[in-house]
Amino acid sequence: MRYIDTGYIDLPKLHATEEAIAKSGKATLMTWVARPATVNLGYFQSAEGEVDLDQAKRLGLSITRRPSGGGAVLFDEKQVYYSIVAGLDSGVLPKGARACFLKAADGLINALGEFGLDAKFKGKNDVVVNGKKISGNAQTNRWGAKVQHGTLLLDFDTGTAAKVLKIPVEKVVDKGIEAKDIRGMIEERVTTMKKELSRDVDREEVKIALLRGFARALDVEFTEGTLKDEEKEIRDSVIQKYESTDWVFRR
Amino acid sequence: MREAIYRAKGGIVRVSLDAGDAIKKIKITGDFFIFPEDSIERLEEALVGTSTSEGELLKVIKDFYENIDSYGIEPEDLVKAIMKAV
Repeated sequence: MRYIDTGYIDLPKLHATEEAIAKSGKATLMTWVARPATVNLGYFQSAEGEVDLDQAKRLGLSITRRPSGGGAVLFDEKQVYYSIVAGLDSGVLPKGARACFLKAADGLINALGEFGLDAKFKGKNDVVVNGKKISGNAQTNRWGAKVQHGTLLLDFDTGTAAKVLKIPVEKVVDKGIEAKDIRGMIEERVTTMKKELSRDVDREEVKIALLRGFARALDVEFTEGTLKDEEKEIRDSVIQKYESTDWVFRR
Repeated sequence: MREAIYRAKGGIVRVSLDAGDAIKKIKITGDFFIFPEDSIERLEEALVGTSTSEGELLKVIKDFYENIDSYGIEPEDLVKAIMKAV
């Protein structure tokens, strides 16, 4: 299975690349790092409902929407991301939503295990360490393919996330947490590799662990590759959609 | 438009609703997953004209669920979210 280390990439280009790979049908794992820092909305979310748009503007954050569901997140260089794109009938990823999340979680759990961290799948689409979220995941079935992607938190800019994301009180109650403040709430729910390991973690180290982790979870061997010319053409022809205001504010 | 936020077991559902005895306009957003994704717009269209009673809403949404896959929210969650906005 092809592996592409995409390096730094902006979200519209990343989503356009996922779409191009899905359309070309070549099963691929990508690792990537989000730059510039961006608020990424789940496909079904309302931009106004989830994001403090004025605050995002003040902080110089882009706002983007991904083709997959799930919740709004802050993407930045402190995290390492993965995307697995594979034909729906390729057998690489399970077709069912939960089974696919569990498969991806296996890869992440394997990778975190290499750092001595005991991670588990939790709830709908999270991977947790010591009960706290360290990875959020999403998926979509489009273009005849499954796109499964997510993040691994090496570190997290809790302050910026708390400022820009409108986290509803309804999300806080029932979690056994007092809603004292949003930042405190995030800190009680979210952890990072840096926190768990009490050291800075190198991105390259994490990428290698992810590669091995997914190889075991998906039972495949990875060969490093690049995008084909036809994939680049598709990417460049669809990128405008993901950059457009119509797409970002569609709901 | 009246707004409501409902916390289902599998996520948050937000509803913007313009309704009298029946739904005139509705927007359903949230952090759930529905496959295929464009079915959310079709669901909203299907709900226009539906009376704002739990039974009617549940029937329309359950019928709709026959042809989609959802992950995170059930028809009952959507009904509760909508009724909260009525």
